[in-house]
Amino acid sequence: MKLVLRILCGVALALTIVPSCLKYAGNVSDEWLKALMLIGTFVWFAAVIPAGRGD
Amino acid sequence: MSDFWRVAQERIWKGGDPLVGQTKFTFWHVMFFAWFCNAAMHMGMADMSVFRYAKKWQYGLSSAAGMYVGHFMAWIAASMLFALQLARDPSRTEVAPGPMAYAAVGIAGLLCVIVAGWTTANPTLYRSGLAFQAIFPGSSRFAITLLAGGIATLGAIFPALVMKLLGFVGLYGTILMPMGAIIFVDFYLLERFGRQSDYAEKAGIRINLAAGLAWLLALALCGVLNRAVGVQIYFLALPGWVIAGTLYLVLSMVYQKNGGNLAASPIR
Repeated sequence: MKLVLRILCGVALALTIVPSCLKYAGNVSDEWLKALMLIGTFVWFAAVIPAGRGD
Repeated sequence: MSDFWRVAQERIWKGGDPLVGQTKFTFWHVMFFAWFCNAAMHMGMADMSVFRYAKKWQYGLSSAAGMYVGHFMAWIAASMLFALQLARDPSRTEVAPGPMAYAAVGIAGLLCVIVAGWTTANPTLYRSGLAFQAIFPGSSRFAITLLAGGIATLGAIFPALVMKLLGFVGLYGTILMPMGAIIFVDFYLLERFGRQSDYAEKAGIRINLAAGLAWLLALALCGVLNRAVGVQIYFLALPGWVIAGTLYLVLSMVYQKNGGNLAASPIR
């Protein structure tokens, strides 16, 4: 379970970084950039707390 | 992506004069801030109030990781956000993190600013609660921490105060940082030099003059470096730390000479 959560954390972090690179390259709109980063932010916080529990 | 470096040089980090009333920041300012921004916490050992809960000694390294990587990232991100704001409207020269982050990446940016401010403030608020409780024993730590947080939040409402933050951080870092050097020397070096650590406690005295003098003299020398030599306050933490540590070591050698007061006092 923890492994899944940690992978999810990685994916969420990527969602906060990759969209800005795509935006710079002109491959994504402002709306999509903001939506993807918001999803990444929420998923990161939702996953990182239980992932770190018990460490 | 291949032309990012060109865009960075032409649109983001293109040099020029600072805003009126602000210091021109160079690479060295950023580097010193990356290491010494929270000098009072890390070099001043205020971190120990939180690190006492650490389960492993390696947790102390998080200060280094947080300072170096975190602050560099923060400076890079802040400059990009400000460049974007200026590109959209050159007349907008105010530096407000929330609106800048919101304009760039929407609600995610706003959440990050709020969470970053909250997590940064938490350990400091906890420390202030402990400090107030030491001054007013018997008071509720919860209530007094809440009060300190309320006052800090009230202060944060006023841009005139917040815009002076960098200078304030440099000043209080410089004031508190010598105590970190004194603690370091007291814990790691004094006994190697044949002197007592925790001298005041063991000698049963209320004031360790060596520590007090080292602190005040280090601050005075930092003042001289600032006023007479022209060293900016942002750069004082490192020389100040070395000066304070050296002074404490030398003064302790003299103050505790041949056991000093310990000869006449019970050592626990």
